Formats: sequence, structure tokens, C-alpha cells
Amino acid sequence: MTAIDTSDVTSLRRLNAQTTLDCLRAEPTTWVTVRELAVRTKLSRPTVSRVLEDLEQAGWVRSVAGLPGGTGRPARRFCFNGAAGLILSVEAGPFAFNAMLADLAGTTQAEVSRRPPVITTSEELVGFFQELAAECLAGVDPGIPLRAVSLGLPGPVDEQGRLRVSITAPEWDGFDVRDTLRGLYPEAAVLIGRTGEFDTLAEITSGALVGVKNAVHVTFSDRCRATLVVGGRIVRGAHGMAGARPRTHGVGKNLAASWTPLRDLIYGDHPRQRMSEIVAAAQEGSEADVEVLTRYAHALAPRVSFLVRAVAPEVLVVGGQLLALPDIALPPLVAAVRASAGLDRRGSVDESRLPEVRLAHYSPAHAGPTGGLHAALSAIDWTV
Amino acid sequence: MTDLDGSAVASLRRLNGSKVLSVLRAEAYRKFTVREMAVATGLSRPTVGRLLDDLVEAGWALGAEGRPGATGRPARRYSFNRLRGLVVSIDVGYAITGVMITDLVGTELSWEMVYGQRLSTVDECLAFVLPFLDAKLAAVAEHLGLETEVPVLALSVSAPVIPDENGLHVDALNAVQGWRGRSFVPALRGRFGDIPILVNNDILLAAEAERRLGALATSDQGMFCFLSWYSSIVLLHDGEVHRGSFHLAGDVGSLPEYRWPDVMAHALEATGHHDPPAVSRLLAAAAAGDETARGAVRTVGEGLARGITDVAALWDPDTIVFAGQLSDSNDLLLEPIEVALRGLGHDDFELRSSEVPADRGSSLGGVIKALDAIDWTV
Repeated sequence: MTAIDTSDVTSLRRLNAQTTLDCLRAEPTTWVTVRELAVRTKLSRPTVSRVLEDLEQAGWVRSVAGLPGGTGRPARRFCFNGAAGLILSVEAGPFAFNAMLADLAGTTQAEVSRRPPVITTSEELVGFFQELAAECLAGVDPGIPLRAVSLGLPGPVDEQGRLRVSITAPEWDGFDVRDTLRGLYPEAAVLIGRTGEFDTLAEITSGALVGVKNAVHVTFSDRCRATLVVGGRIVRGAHGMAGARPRTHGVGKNLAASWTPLRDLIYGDHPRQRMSEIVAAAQEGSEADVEVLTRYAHALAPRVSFLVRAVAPEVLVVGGQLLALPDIALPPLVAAVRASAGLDRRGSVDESRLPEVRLAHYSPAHAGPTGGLHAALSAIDWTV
Repeated sequence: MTDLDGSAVASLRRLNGSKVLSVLRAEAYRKFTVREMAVATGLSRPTVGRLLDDLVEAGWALGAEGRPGATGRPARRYSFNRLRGLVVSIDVGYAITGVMITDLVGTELSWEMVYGQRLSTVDECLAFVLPFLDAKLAAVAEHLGLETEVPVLALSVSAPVIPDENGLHVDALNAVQGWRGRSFVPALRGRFGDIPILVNNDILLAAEAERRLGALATSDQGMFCFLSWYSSIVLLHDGEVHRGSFHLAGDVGSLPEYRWPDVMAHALEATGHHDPPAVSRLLAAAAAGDETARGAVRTVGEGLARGITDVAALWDPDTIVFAGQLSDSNDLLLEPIEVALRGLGHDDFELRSSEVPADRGSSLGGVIKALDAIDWTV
């Protein structure tokens, strides 16, 4: 090592502060003592003490005096200061905008869901975004800085944050809102991603896919899609398009991915045309709607099991609007996955190699914004 | 660092020896001088000289006197001893047995496939394969003019089975259902001793060969469509063959959902090539212009197109490679698949034919895996 000069000491101290902050953020609502932190960070107690003082001064950490009662002087306790900032996460779609405001510990402060007016330009999208943002921020202390803003869009996004192709609304193709959002929230990190990936990110980080290496995440909605997870990470594909191809080509001619035209084939002539309406009617007991959804689930099952076989996941997660009616969604999928568990269908099923079928943890309205929050948290510059 | 004791010196020397060996292997046909090796490894010339002599003694390197002519004493040259050992790659099926023997850089010394046997149990298979392999090993030794038998350093078995890490067949194709629950490993271990013995699914190995040697060499996100009497799709992620959680990844051919087995069976039946099933005869008839056969092949293509397109839609590949005997059937079969893939609405993926010969793919994939499995530390 070279001779220690003062700049080295400073950077060492910063590094130690970083380690300590990361450790506190890993369990952002847990109170710990200096001693416990020293063990977890492998730093000395005096170092941790000094670093905590710095972090508290900078606002990243709060502390309370220990409760007396035990023997000796009660130890002071420290916790990550989630209130040091806010994150806004919005999922934008042509039929619904779902917004969530959380503090830096990920604790929800506000939630808003709205049906948007008809949006045909980037400016209109930003306009509606701002309305939701204002509504979310109305109830919180205006002194708390907004540290990150995330926006989920219904399709793959390029490196500049432009929506390359919209899966649900063709007129949104090419929407470009990043610079406008940066202008509106100059202090915040701005992150734009694809809602489908945010859904899966939510399940990976805090839902049904925590700790799972290989998974298929199927979303039952008007446009069914599947997101694949390999090695614990979302498969984005060669062009960021993995999950589902945008729009239908050659419907009925068997000439394109057969997932996309499913909806048209199954409820194209049904009086209700939106999955959310059909699900609501089915929940009310409408037999015709239950039947449409049942047919949909049965038609999707073999397609899912084909994919499951190609990927060989540990877990198949089922989410989307049909999550509200698991009795309809699950049985055909479970049966199809079981049937395809061995090389020979007639052979017995080897239970140890059967992918587990799970329901998604997050509802459709929560999955996107929650994943957006996780993505935004990792987009914040945490260096101290 | 602690004080150097004897064991530390020994392990340092071993570490440096491995470094020198890996440089020799990386350019297996080059003859290095001590000076060149010192530059390549960053070690001192005396150290390198000692290590190279050790490697020669252990058989890993060959030393040759330099050619005289220039000024000064010509420098001694060293190269990797590619014949320090052999690699065996066996490719077995119900009616096919192939044996490939290579040197330690994977150069083929012997390869032969024989057809027509009926190997319905693992014991029958071993009873057929072992004498065949021994004859081939003897022939290689004789051809090379070697007095003593060269040791086999690693062995790969490629088969239409789904093996677990220990080589136990947890599942097997219909034709070799009798192989289920059994393993080739104990018998091979008895014959070859404590060397790496690997058992892998044949189609995954063919994909591995395509990735290292063929059309997927530059692909990060690839699809390897193996189209034959029994078809599969193998996925490649970050340039690696995706094996999935239960060693089952890619094996979609037996699933009835997209009617792949039915489509094939119908085509063979419609053209009278179903008993015994003979895809090659169907293809030959189509190539000869038989309209019924041509129609049947096209129908198979249409049947395969949907499954391939669905996976491509979700995988978003940069390259899709077609392999297997069906992929050679002119454009009759591939045309409907290509139309369907282009129907995805963009064309920024490449469609390519396999570059590794179909009958050698699995064996070559096995050689690659076996070479990787050898412990190259000295």
C-alpha cells in the first residue's frame, strides 16, 4: 500500500459509510445497535460509531436512545431514515394509470388509480402523469425531496427512454417523455421501463419469485404475455422484446405467435370486450363470462406448458387480471404443466421435477408500480 | 504473505506450471522458445525453463532441439503434447452408436457410426458399445504407431435421455424407455477408472457444438431448432446453452400440445414411410419430386412453425439456427417456418442453417464438454 495521505483517509471513511448505509438499507425498517452493525459490516465498533454520526448528520440515518431496563447503559439504536426522500412510481396504460408514492424504505405513502382520458401524444401522457403525481404528493410534507421517479410503459423502451412499440395502444409508439420528466423533476433520478418487466421485478424482489432462479411469469390479461426469468434475472432478449411480441400479425392464418390473437379468437364477439369487465361480471356470477374466461384459460394452458418445457423453470407464476379468479385460471395450467413433466406423456409424473405453479403476489394494479419502485430505488445514487 | 515454506514453494511451482500448460494448450500447434513462453506468462526465463522441463517429464509437453543455422546456439522449442491422452465421445441411441476419439485439442482421430442394432436396455447398450470402443481405441493406437495404450482422460456419453448430475437417466425417449432409471456411469467407471465421465442429452450437446463451432458462435440470445423425427428447441442465453431447473429445458418435441408428434406421424403415414418410421425416405421422396411427399414435408413445416414462432416471440433471439435431418429438406420445410417468423413483425434476427454436420453434432458437443471437464492443473 502507498503512504496514507488525507485523501485516502477520506475515501476510506466514505467507503465505510457506504458499507454501513447499504447494510441499513437492506433492512430499512429495522433498528440496530452499533455492536450489531459492527458484526454485520465487519467494521470496528468505533468506526461504525463515527460513520453513523456522519450518516445521521447527512440525514440518511435516524437514532433513538436505548430503552433502559436491562443491565448497564442501554445502547443507542439506529435505523435507515426512509423519510429522507420519496419515490414516485407510475404505470401508464391507455386504460389505466396506477401510481404509488413511497418513502425510501419502500413504505407506501399514497396510491392512486385513474382511468385516463384518450391520450395520443407524449405531452398528454405527461399531463396526466402530473395530475396523478400532484394527487399522490398532496398529503405529504412538501419539504421531503422526491428522489426518484419511475414510469412504466406498455412496451419495450429503448436506451433513450422512448417507447419503441406499444403493445396495447399503437398511437403511443415512439412516445418520448424522459427529457420532459427530467425537466419537471430536476432533483430526481428518472427511470423509464416496460411495465411487463416491472411486474416481474416486483415478484422477484418482494413477491412470489424471491430466491427463484428460473421462472416463467404468465400474465393473463387482454394481451397475454409471459416474462422469463433465467438465473434470477429477467430475460430481455436480443432487442429488449422478450416477453411477447407487440402486435398481432396474420390473425387466424397461424402465421404469428399464437398468444396474441387468442383474445380475438375467444372473446372477439363477446358483448364485453375488456378482460377487467369480463372478470367483474364473472365475479358477479355471469355464467357466460365465466365460460369465456374458462375457454381462455384452457386455450392458454398448452401454450404455457410448451414454454415451460422449453425453459424448464422451477416456478410458474400466474398473474394478471385472471388472478382474481384463481379457480378458473389455475386448474388447466396445473394440469397442462403436470402432463408435460416427463418425456413421455404416458409415463408416470416425476413429482420432483414438476415446476411449482404459484399465484402472483401482486394484483395487476400493484405489480407494475411496485416493480417500478424497486427499479427506482436501485436507480438512486446512494453514494455518500 | 506468510513466510515461504516448502509447501508454498511447491504450490507456487504448481500454479506456474498450470499457467505454462494453459499457454501451451491455447496455441496447441505452436512451438515456443523459453523466451517466448516467459513473455507469454510473465514469468522469468529460468523459472519457465524449469517448468517446461517438468512438463516434458510429465508428458504434457514435447521438447525439440532448435534448428541450427542462425547465429548462436539454436533455442530449444516446446509444444503441447496433444497425445498425452485421449478424449472419447460416445453417441448412443436405440439403433445408432457412434464413437469419436480425439486428441487433447479435440482433433478427430477416429469417428464411426454404426446403425441397425436394437439396444433396448442399458446393459445391451454397454455390451455393444464397450467392445466397439475398445476396437476403436486399439485402431487409433496402431494408426499412431504407439506401443503403449494412451490413457483416456475424459469420456462423454450423448444419449436421448434426461440425465441428472450423476448420470442417472431420470427420463428417456420412448424408443429407449428401457434406459430409464439406469446409468452408463458405473460400467464405464469400471473400465476407465477415475476420469471425468459425463452423460448429457444428445440435443443439448448438439446445441453446445453449434455454439462453440458453428452458426451460434457469435450469438448471445439464440435458438437452436433441432428438427427431425423428434424435434426440440434449445435456448441459448448469454451465450450459454440453457439447461433449466430440471435438466429438461428445450425438450418440447414430445409435447402433444402443438401436435408436433402427430404432424410427423401423419406425414409418414400419408407417404407410406411409417413402418418403420423413416424420415430419410420421406425426405428422399420429396427431393425426387414426389408430390405427396413434398406436400407432407410442407405440412410438417407448417406444424412446426407455430411452436417455433411462439417461443421466438417470447425469447426474442438474435439468431435462430435450424439443425437436424429435416432442416436439410430444401426449402419445403423451412419456408413456412420462415414466413411465420417474419410474421412476428420485424426482421432483426438471423435465420441460419446449422454448420456442424448433423451426425457429428452430439459427439463434438461431447468432446467440448469432456475437454472442459479435464483437470488441467499440474
